[in-house]
Amino acid sequence: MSAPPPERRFPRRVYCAGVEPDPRFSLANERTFLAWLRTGLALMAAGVALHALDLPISAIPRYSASVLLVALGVVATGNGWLSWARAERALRVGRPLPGPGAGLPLVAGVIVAGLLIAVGLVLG
Amino acid sequence: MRQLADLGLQLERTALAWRRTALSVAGAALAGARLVTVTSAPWAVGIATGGLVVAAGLSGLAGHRYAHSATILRRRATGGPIHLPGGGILTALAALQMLGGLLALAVLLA
Repeated sequence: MSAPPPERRFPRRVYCAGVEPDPRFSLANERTFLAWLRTGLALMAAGVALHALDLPISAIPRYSASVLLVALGVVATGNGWLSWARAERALRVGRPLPGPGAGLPLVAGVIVAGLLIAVGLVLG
Repeated sequence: MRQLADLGLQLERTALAWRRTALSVAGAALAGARLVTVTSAPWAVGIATGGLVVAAGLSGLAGHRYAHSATILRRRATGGPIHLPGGGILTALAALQMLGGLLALAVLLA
């Protein structure tokens, strides 16, 4: 039985830890990451659309909400990657999966953006 | 045997997730281009083209990753060493998307 080939996958902090997990879990983790990507993309697109479209929303709440949404999209994307890396590492070393991370502040941010839009619609 | 069948289904789900992501990128690129058209036509063309190229790449990647992973997992059934593809592409995608978002933020705040 020859030695396994040296680990060349990125990031090393994930793949040099522990052992190869059940591939079903790795694949599930990958799908979760892609879902975060799509969520981040949707948030950014919403922010840009809010800014660019002709909508009956008062200027200041609209601008704030659009900046907030784009920022949330960036945070969601970053959180998606971090969660993927943490979860993959946890799977490899047999530790509990990490918690929601930036998930809860993200939800709060989306609620704030919604409220801003609501206020803007009323004032607009 | 059942575990292999399970794995096949998970591979398929993952490939589909990549395709969904490709569609989202294409949709966002076209929507973004449409929104930017009024302000700046060259940027609109750039966004649309760039986004569609990335989307096409992701779609191709879905097939490749699926085939590659299937080969690896089949090798596992015969006791060979296996590991699924790493996180390089995932990292690059996340970085690219964050960069795009920061760019959009910069434009908004300018």
